[in-house]
Amino acid sequence: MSELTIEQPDFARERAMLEKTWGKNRGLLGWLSETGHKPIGLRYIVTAFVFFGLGGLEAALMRLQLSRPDNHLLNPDLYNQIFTVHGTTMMFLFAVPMMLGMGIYFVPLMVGTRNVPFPKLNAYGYFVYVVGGIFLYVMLFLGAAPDAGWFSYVPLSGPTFDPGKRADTWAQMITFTEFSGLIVAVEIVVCVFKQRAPGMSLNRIPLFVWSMVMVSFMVIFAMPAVMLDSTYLIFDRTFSMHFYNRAEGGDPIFFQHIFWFFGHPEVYIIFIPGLGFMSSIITAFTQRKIFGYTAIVCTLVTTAFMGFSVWVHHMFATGIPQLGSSFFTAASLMITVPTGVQIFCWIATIWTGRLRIATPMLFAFGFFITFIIGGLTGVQLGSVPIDWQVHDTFFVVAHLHYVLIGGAVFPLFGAFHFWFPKWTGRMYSEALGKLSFWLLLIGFNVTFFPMHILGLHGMPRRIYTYGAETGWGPLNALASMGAVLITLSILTMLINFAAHRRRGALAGPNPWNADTLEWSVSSPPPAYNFLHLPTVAGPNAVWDAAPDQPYVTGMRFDKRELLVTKTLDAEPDHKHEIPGHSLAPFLLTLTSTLGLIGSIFYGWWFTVGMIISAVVLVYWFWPNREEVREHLARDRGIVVAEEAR
Amino acid sequence: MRIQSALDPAGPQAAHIAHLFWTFTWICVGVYVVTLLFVLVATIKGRRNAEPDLTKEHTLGIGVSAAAGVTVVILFVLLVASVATGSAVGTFGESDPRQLEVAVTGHQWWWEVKYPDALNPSATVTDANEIHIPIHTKVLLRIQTADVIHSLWIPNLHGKRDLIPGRVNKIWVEADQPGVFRAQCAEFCGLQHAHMALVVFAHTAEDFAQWKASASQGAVTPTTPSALRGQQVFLGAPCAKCHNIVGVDAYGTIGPDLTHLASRKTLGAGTLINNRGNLGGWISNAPALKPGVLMPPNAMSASELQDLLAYLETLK
Amino acid sequence: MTQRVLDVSALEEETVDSRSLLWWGNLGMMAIEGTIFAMLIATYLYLRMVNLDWPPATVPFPDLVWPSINLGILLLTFIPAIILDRAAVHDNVPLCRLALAALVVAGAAFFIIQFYVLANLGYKWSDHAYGSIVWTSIGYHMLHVLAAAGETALLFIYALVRPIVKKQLLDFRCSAVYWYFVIAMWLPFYFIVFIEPWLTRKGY
Repeated sequence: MSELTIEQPDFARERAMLEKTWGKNRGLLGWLSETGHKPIGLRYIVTAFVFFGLGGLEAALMRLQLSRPDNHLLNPDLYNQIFTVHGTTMMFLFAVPMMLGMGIYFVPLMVGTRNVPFPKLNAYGYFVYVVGGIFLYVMLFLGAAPDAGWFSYVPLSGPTFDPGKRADTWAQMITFTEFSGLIVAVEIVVCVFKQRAPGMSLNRIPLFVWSMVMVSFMVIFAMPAVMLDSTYLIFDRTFSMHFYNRAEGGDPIFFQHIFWFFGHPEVYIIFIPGLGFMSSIITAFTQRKIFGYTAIVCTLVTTAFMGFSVWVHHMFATGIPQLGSSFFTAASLMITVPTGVQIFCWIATIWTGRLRIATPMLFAFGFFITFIIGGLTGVQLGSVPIDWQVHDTFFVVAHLHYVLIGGAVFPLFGAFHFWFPKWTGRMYSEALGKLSFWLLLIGFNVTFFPMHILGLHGMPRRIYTYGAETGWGPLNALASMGAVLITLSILTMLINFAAHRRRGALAGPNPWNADTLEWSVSSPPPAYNFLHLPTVAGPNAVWDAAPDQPYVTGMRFDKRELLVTKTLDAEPDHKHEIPGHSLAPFLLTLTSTLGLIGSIFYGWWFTVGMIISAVVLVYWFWPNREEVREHLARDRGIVVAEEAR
Repeated sequence: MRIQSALDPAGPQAAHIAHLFWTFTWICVGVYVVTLLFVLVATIKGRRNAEPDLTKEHTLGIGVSAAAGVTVVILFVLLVASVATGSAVGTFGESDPRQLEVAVTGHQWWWEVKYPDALNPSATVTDANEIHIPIHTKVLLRIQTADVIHSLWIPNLHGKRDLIPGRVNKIWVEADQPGVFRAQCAEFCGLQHAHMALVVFAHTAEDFAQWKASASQGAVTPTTPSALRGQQVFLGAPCAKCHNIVGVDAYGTIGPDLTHLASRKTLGAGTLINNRGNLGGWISNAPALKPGVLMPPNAMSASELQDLLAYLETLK
Repeated sequence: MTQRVLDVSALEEETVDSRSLLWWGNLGMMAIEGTIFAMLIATYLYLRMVNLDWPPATVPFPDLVWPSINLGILLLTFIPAIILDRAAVHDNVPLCRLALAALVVAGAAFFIIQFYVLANLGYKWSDHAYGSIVWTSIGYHMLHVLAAAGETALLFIYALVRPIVKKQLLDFRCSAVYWYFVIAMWLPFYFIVFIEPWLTRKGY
């Protein structure tokens, strides 16, 4: 490896070769065998958005039901299924897959590589997630959806009080989505630590990528907990085990401990990518490097660690001993400091930047306006006595929507507008973008702010109706009206995107003059991402590049080759060939989900699933003859005569 | 009946918590306003900058550090306030010998309330969906569940505490003024979580003694012919299999004790106001009014129902 | 027109060590499975904490003979795992085949004996929470032995019928590392299931 000066190569020819090597296959089989990170990432994003729509529909039904006292639009059984599926959808089928999908799409581009390290596994992760989501909704339409809330506390979800397959559906859907989350987490960690473009040392990694790395670590340590929690539940229900049965030495509170050991980090898993979007947008719209890069990276790391030390604040009302709860109060209050520091750094950046206001930046302001309220009510909930009053009331419903919509959805919609030109090569309509922002900001606050007051006035969450004597009618009616505005906002955004996807003004590679590597390639990016892998000279790769910034040569055009670099300083280390398109991930999805879904009806299906999955895995890993021949020539210098083909 | 509100305290603990809540709230509002002012000023400045200004990094560093420092100080103050309130409220009543004990058991979806009498166990009063307490007395509620997790929440008196299978949780409440407070289950407990309310009556000492005396009595013997016939209807129909009435041959334990049914404010744990019409409807077809309730529909002739209602109305 | 470039054509293609992506992926998988494993131990400790009798009175003191023999087998499995690892580094394919075969045999032996051990525990998963966590933990570990042995068997068959190149040598090493993990994981389980009741039985 050395730096040289060469004659400019024939770009067109190189492009054609890369396109042939990395391009898509046609047809349904081509679609099913796709392993590129961008198609998979987009599928995650689109699918998660569809689930967002479904979750939103369920929310609308709930708001309709609660809009007046003693309403009988939905019966309690249906209402309970709907709020459970709403929460489950938004947490497990929308928020996490959406954020991880954004990561799968952008992380390889931002670090300057061509694909994720294990493309087939990545495709498998997506398919498993889709099957989990479809499974939940099929059960909903069969009238057998889970109905014990998105955290399905035992014993309500246990064998005694929830006969049938409702809780099993919930628990097994968790297994599927967490599988997919864990796969993406490993992909992202390995991609960022081993595949960065030469020169992108740790202190030059874009903040969005840092946020995805921290999220991935949180996924790796948090999601196994909930998988185990839901597996124990299935064991209790299917095999008469007693993990949560107090009469036989188990403990229902243990379910809550493990659930929230996962559940609180889950909140950070959802909104830390939002913080990453914020940093990306603010950098581009102030045209300056973010103030306090190192501080922001440190706060991301601190938040990820502290996220694991606050779970008990979800359980204060169970009767936790005084001293223990004081510790968790302290941790719950102090975890706001790192996020606070990020907000201060962004304010400093805006202060000294050349601020331009367009839709993505408006959504960033939406984050400030809403998320900070959610953070502050979070401080209130961290206090044990206040929590005793407002826990499990509409105050908490308000708080969590301010945190998740304010902290994740506002930045996410900002990110949609920000990267729309990158995805489509076209600009959206700024007027419609601003309209959808204002509708969302107003609609969101009209819907959720009154819920704080409702909670303080005694309205518990998860009630399907209430009497007029409670006095909760007017504020609920107001909240339901706000939901109409939110719906309009989202429709406006969809119309904006649909109308300009093919017909908007041409965007060019970098309409915002933004700083990260995805903006250095055409819009939309080609299948191979970079014609030549880039090298990086600073934390804002595009801005810091010298006019004659070297690029990487010597990678093969006829093979799907990745450049593996060193973990700390991203020095080129070796080249690695990754597999191409394959049907194996899809087949493995069929066999493994068959086993897992079957197992909640009859335990032996698990064994059947394992055996046929093992067969598929052999197919997955078995190299073809051509590959063997090439490897022999490369590694052993043995040239085998080509057989008649 | 007062609206169930955490911000309308009728006892010292709720008052402590409401005070803490407002302290937190005003400080948080201050923090919010100041932060958004900074965002606003930054926006105005940023709009005016012709070029990004990278010369002030040191000053910005001081600003951000100062803001972080102020945040930590504010959080520390809040932490101290919270822990102080928490220990005042949490240990409330533990050392007070003059306390009344009430045992509350949550069922799907109603509350069983017992006033145990240590000296004379047969004088234990059993009630449902209503708690009577004397004012200025620390009342120990021993709470447990018969099935799933519930949460007892009387916002005007205190925060909530969960009812957990296999455990008896304790919570002390005290009212400092007479009143009637609505309360409700706060932990999702299944189909009719929405209809699991209870009513708390805070009485003056004399009123409480009077109530206790009347509640300790068995059911009065009916005097009117209609009520007498109604009693036979009750004992002959399936009613007595599930409900208890002290003084007659009804020993059921599945449903609420009906000895003093007529003195209750609500039916079905807050589902309906307790009046003759609602009671008739409830007896005829409770599942239509509260889907999922264990009480089955009861087919009986109109005259039987009228007699039964006449009898139940005597159970004051 | 000329262009400065960073030429990487001379770089190695594929490596057989910790620099490779697969190695990192393998670490990631072990981190996830290790977290589950840690949560299982946490479950055991939590349940132990909330119960006065632990194990429950009906649980007999565990028989140590077969579990200890099986522990011995598993610990001996370290030897072929290390041999596989080193042989792969030194590109000694015949020795790799031998080590793979030994690992499959050892894994299978452990798995079968473990069935016998489970059958003779004297309590079932559905008897009490103690039974649930013990059966689940042993089952979780057996699943890993099965997966490791299955993977090793596949590699062994492949090594018999196809030529071995760098890619497979790396697979061999990752497989060996995974065996280290599977073996190490058993030690705490062995201790809590078979030794702990003898040392600190609660409620006696």
